[in-house]
Amino acid sequence: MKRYLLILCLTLNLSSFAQDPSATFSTMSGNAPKPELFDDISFGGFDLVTANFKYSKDNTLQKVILSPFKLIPSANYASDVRLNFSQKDKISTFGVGFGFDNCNPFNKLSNRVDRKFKKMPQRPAQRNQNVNETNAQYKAYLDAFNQQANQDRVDYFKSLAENAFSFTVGYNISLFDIIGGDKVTDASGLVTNKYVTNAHSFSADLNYSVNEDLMFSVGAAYQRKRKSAAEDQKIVEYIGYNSSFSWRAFYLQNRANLLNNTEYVKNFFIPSILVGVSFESINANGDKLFYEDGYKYKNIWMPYLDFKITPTNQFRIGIPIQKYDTVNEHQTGLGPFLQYNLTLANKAG
Amino acid sequence: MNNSFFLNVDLDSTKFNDDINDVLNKKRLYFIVKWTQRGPIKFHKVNWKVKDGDWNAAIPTTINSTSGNIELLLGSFDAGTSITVSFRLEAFAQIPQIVAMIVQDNPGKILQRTPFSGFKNLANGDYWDETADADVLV
Repeated sequence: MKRYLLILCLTLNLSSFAQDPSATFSTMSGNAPKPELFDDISFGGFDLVTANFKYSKDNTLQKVILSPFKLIPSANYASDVRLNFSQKDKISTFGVGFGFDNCNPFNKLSNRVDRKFKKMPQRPAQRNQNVNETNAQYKAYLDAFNQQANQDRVDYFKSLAENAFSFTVGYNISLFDIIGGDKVTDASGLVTNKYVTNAHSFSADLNYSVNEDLMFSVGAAYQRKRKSAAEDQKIVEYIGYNSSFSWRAFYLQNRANLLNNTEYVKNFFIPSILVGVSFESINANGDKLFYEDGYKYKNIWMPYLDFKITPTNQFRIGIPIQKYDTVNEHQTGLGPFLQYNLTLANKAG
Repeated sequence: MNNSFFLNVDLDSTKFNDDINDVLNKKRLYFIVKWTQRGPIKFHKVNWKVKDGDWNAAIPTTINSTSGNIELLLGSFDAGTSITVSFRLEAFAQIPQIVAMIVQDNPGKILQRTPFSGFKNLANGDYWDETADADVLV
């Protein structure tokens, strides 16, 4: 049974603290690739803590992603390791992702930030006010000095954004809601809570930024999953792929005036609208009787617009277009959903 | 920057030995900044002056460093001299720990430490503008 569905999706991103540019490039594309099929096992961007609440007609997702090694006040090899804690319906998922972000100065796997930073032009050092200099004259000198410093800072960020990439290899284990206690049988004598593990999931993702305006991502996932804890369930293999493309199509502020924008200078935040599209695909292999919701495969294309108004006012509007094939009458209803992403903090790179 | 204490000692001087001893008896002062290694920090200025004197530049150009450590020789001074250091630096990432000090190396003393205890934390894009005073010890 082939079906085509069109739904409207609205995503809001709320960041309570200014983002670190070291995480910005990877986060811009990293948020996009797994909006629907693998949202419970995705590791998102590279912030210290990211909380995500997603409500939809058929499922509710709550998740927190934590980068614990960013709390260590020194460079280390595990700076981009992330932990995933999520709950989708009654399934709890715990995962660890070994990541690498070449914009993170505190990841000892790369010296790229160091090399880019040291290429910044050296300027004559700032002087203090001379005795015979008026306040107005000194202020004019400082304004010119600061303007040059801001330009140098932005140029550095632009160089950092070019050929920025990150990757993550992750593993997640998903558990059913009942993980112990007495076994319960149904009317046919089958144990309904025989299994504890719902799924083992392996994933790999790569994000790449050509520059600050153009980003790509690709990823793959492999899952061994059973659809319920009942005794007669068999494992089904799922192989999935995801990719996304984002282009900063519209600047909401004249580029010539961006140097007057504090957030642009400090954090390279560009008020803009990004046009993008993501693609997700999942294919089931195994006994058809045990396919989750009866899906043999499901493909989701989602064109979207990312509105980046201010660091604390960002949202996404997307239109997922789904194509899927089922082996029985099981269907999943779809409808508009609302998603909030909350970046709680962003310390230590 | 003159980083030799003995540069101005003249070999032709009849007071060569006195000059050498005079230099050795002066107190050498350094401005030191230590921060989380690999954190990108740009030094916009490190200027110093003796009380009521003119400002002197300890760095002729801006410095971009991720080394986590920078030591700048301010000069050699007589005991009791009051020194003021004015510095400005800029963080290009989150810097979890950073501290600035004025240090005398004979005898070894920390004359001024900022912050006074613990470490300062800089967010990305933060400037650290500060003026620190110190009196040279005997």
